[in-house]
Amino acid sequence: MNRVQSRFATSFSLKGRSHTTRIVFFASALLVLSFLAEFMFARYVENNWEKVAEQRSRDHLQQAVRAFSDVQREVRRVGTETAQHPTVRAVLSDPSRDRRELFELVSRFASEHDVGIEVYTAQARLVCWHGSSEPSHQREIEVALGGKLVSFVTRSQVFTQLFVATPVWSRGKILGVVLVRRTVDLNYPLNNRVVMNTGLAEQLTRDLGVQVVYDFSPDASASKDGRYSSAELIGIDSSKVGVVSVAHLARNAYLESVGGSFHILNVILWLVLIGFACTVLGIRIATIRSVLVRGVAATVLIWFVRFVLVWFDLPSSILQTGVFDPGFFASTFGNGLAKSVGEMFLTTCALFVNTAIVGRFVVENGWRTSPRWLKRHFVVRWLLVAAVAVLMFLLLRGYAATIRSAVFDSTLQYNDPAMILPSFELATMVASLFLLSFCLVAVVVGLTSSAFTLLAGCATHGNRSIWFVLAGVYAVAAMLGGIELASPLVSLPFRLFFAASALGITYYLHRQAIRGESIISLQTLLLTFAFCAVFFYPVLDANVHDRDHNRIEAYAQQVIRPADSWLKFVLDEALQEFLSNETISTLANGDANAVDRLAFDRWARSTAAREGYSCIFALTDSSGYELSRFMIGGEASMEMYHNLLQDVPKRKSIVVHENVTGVNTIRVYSGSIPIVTGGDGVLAYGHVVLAASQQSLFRGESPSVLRSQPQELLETFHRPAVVSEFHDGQLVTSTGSLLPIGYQLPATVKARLSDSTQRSFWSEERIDGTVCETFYIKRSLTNNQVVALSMPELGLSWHLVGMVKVVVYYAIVVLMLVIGFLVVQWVRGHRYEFTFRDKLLGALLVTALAPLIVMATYGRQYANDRLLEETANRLEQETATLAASIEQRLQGEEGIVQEALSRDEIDRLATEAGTDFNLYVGNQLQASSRPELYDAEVLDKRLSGLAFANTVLGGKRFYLETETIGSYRYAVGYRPLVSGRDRIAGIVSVPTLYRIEEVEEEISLQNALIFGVYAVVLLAIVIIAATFANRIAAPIHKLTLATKRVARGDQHVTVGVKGADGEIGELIRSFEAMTEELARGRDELVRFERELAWKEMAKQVAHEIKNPLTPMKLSIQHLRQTYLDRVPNFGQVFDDVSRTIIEQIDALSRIAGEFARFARMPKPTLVSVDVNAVLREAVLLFDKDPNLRFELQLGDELPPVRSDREELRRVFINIIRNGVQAMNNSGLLQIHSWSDLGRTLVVLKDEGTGMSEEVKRKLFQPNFSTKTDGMGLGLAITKKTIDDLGGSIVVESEVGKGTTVTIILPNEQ
Amino acid sequence: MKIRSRIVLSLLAVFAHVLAASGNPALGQGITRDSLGGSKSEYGAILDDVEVGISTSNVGLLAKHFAPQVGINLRGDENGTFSSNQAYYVLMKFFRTRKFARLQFSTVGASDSNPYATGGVEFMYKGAKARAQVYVALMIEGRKHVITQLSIY
Repeated sequence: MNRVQSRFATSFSLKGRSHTTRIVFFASALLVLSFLAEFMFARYVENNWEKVAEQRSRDHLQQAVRAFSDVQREVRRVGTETAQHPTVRAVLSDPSRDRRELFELVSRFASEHDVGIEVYTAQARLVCWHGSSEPSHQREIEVALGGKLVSFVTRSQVFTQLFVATPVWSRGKILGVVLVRRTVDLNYPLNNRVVMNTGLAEQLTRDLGVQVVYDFSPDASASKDGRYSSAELIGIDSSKVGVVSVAHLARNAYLESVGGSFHILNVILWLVLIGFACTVLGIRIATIRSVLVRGVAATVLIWFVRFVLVWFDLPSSILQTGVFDPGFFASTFGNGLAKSVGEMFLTTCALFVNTAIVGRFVVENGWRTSPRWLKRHFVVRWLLVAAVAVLMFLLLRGYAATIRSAVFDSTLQYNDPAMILPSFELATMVASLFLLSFCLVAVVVGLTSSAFTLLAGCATHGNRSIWFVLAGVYAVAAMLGGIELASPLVSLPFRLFFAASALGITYYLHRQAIRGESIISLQTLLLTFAFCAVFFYPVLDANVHDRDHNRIEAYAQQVIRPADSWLKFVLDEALQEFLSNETISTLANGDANAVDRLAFDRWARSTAAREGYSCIFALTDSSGYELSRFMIGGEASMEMYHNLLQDVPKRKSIVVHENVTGVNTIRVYSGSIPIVTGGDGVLAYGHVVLAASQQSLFRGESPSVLRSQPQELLETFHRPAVVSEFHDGQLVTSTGSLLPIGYQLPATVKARLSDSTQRSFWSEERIDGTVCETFYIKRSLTNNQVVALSMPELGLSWHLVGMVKVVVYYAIVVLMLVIGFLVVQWVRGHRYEFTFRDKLLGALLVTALAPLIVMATYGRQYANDRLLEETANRLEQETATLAASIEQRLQGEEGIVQEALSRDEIDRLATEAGTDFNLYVGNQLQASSRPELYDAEVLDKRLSGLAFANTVLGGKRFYLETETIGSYRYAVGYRPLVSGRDRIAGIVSVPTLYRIEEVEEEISLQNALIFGVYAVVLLAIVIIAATFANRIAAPIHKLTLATKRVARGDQHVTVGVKGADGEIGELIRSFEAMTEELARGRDELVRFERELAWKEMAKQVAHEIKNPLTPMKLSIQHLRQTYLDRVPNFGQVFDDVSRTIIEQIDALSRIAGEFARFARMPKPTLVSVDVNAVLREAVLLFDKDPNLRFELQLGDELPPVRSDREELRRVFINIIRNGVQAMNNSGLLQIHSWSDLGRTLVVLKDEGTGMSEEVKRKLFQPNFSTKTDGMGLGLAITKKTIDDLGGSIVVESEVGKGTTVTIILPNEQ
Repeated sequence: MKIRSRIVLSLLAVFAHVLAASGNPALGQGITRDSLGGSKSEYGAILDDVEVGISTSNVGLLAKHFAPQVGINLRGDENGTFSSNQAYYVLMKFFRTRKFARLQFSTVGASDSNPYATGGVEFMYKGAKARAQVYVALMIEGRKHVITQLSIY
């Protein structure tokens, strides 16, 4: 027993039972206490709520104030550090000095601290900057130039920023001002990768669990709403900069959050209790003799624990994100067993453990034997075989259904080629599927083995025809498996493959068992998992393909969905936004800046913004004067907007206008709503104009950066699909370039479309040399308008990447398995010993992988650099094209750029260059092909500081900068526009921000390619290394085995390696020579010992015989003398003498009998013997003694052994007697029997005095005895008996600790 | 204390805790389908179920009308197309942290046999009151209407 088991055994043994109860009681008591504490706490809170709420509110308020102060302190520190830098002072002291170094410094500081920095001269002139420009603070700068440190907060359209103005001092003189800004709040409810809503208020609201509001307006005051507590925020100059308000804690919410903490404690206690209970039960179950009962008990325990966890919603109730988020996967199977990826993993782990435990029980207890009673029932056996086959395919169906659910009930991207390394959620799901596959294989192998045994009648594995019969049965079952089902989930070829695999694996394991090798080994597990990968991937792939189809079909339904209802909803909801309390209070307060922002605010919160529609949001007062307007791509709808303003209705109204231009239809929805307050009449009017074109399928066209949580777009689907529309078989519009202009539907498609009963179908066709899968759907059954969604077929590279991913998945699972295996070994107290082969393989892999990793890293870096270089080249060309066009317009007059470019000119330039662009004059944006981002203040209108420094100051003809917005990094190319006098008239820039998806896709595919190639190389390396390691280590391994055989006493051993050369060959030859010599020497020794033994025995026999002969001679002499002397009591003397002689003859007879038995006279009679029965008979002779206790753990239905029953009985009697004598006829004697791999083992353990090493060494020598009586032949005879049966006997003993005798006998064949 | 007594007490404690822990949070807020009144149109019952389901955080009432694929858009939570099974659990998670007041659809419309409904509803989230707009779109599948889109913005 290893140390862990012994520890548990001590805890849960009879003596440790009180410990267990104490722990359980303690944990239960804690649970009760926790419950009581929660109850009492709730009561306390109820009774003292005001006090508690006040205290909590005060704490929250302090935290909110402190959070702002911390930010302010940090910004001040940055400002001071910048102001004191020598470079800043140097540049401000000398205006003619080159400012590029200053720009570099400021840019570095700003990036490090995530702030914006501006440097002003003493004349308040801006000389250097990094970050956004709005809003400007001339007044505050003037104050700072007066020598005062100033801090203030300003709210713009999108951001609320904290500013700190720090004067730059040098020798008592102010050289300038450093203005540092940091965003403290985001007013724009946009939350995507580009603009992340992580303002201070939002963050604190999340952390504290109550609403926090920062108000930095000039007239900010404490909240008069009784639900809030407020505190003033003080600036660096001790002036008030704003007010923070924190919502009072809601009692229920507070109790809920505290309850959550108690819940976590309770969970821990529950887990302790459950863990303890499971351990106790598990140990009890392990002692159950019956394999069947043990298996059932283990199964019940495992699933009881699993369902208890589900019932208590553990761990999902605590960990609600990541793998426990149902957004990734959720199935209603098992009432919660698979309601997330994490729960599914736990369930498959439970299934895996269940299968492993039950499988191990079965294997260890004679898995290839069938009950004897079945041998007589031929029909029953065949019915059971048929049932097994049916059960197997039902299991396969269940398995396929699970994989289908794993695909269809999840949003995981199994087949995204750009993703080689899976996300944690995907890896967990794949691991679950691997475990599930393993369980299926294990159960199926067990069933197949059972079926084989049933057909064979008993464990005769040499009969190959049985396998063919079984194959036939499975083939029939496979074919029948799909007949009655409309969707069998797996195809017939796969079912046949499954059946063949089951047979193959079972056959392989049977062969292993025959060879005496253990079938439960790491190698078997690894091979099984490798098979699982090959097995489950095609099923997964087929389902993913089906899901791709479903997705396209669902999208198609959206496309043909009447846009009217949706767009009306969007417009209606946008109009409702104008009626919010916030809008009304802003209009009522009359703050011009706030009113000016209203249109933007309403747009930002509307569905129109989320969906990315081109729209105009506006507010007018009751006389029609425009108070606020915000527009995105709405230039085309201006006419509608003006019409709207002409005729403002008294109630909410919506007007739809459709404009058909060629093949494109544009729908414009416009509406107005009066904003009324009580009896004051109309406060203002809200107006919305929304436009959607058929070419974009009535979906939003705004860039994704302007969308909050952009929805899944078909364009970003990893299998790009092109959406096209056909009228009367003619292509009218398409979102991609897959279909050529004027494309006509193929005749086969037209024929199917003419079927009025069929609305949609899939078709495979070749379009321009590319094979495509296309889904056709009619807008209605009688309509001639058809929408088609086409996906190019999956190419070879796709499948290659797919195979690489399977390898990666397998590697991840193997890694987990190896780690798990090592952990289990460690828990059991076994130290895993790495063999020579393992070390050699490790060395080869390290040698090969190290440079591979270096190359892969370098290769990836090189590829990224190349991509950047290509991007730079492309940007250089694009900026050159644009610059040339604009410079041509300049016609040598530099001032002409000052005029604003018209919208048409901008669009024309952008179209000609094929890219979006911006134009700067000085350092301000003058024109942009994408003004929305600047209007929305997502991007700043000021030229980047470093770009200014490099182009304007440094004179570079092209400058590439990597800029960051949110979590996204993108490249921007800058090129100066040179006028006729070789002066810089402006800067044109081309950002890649608008091509986020393209660039990401390019990077992903590049990474996928690199990774794929290296993964293939890695796989090849592993296979080659493993092959070489096996080949090199094989002779060493065989040598090791041969050495072990020699140590066990096998004399004639050869290593069995042919053709080995070098040192290993020399070693092998030397070894074989040594063993030969050893065998010769041992034979001689044996002969000598035998002679010696016989001499010794002859001496002993002579001595023993002489003992009775002497008294016999003396007695006869006495009798003769008495007869001659004619003694009167001759009769008496005769009687005595004759008695003596008879006794001595009996003694002689006994001696002869002992020696005869030792010399094997008479010949033994070999029959089929039930070992357990013989053991019971032997025990019966001793169990009358009340001081003796026998504990029998005899295996069920042991296979018979071939032996002389009487001799075997004597063997057991002898050993039992020795044990009883060693215990002085008092104590416990344990007898345990079981069968394993063709052998029967019997273990007899006593609590006697034990024996020393010296005694153990001589134990089986004839004539050796530690007792005063007896011949000392008992154990010698025992050993000889066992040896003659082909078995072995092993004795383990320690002085004072008893003796264990293990007898191993081969089962009858 | 004897071992037997300890065991009995432990079992009692566990039993009591189980009782306490098994409280069902979704007991409803006294709003029943009957109290809202039933609609007479063929998809009216579905809209009634949606109203009651959202008002009482009873996802089952919604889920039984889901199409095999449903577009779900939830403010501050999941957005995407989910299977009906997945949508069930996504909504369960959403409703766990939000308490909705009574929802009543203000607009019920239909266009080419694709009905939809919208309405506003207030809810409590982290102690703060907020307002959301609910949009539900239905489609005919086979012989019955199913929910293809549910948005709570």
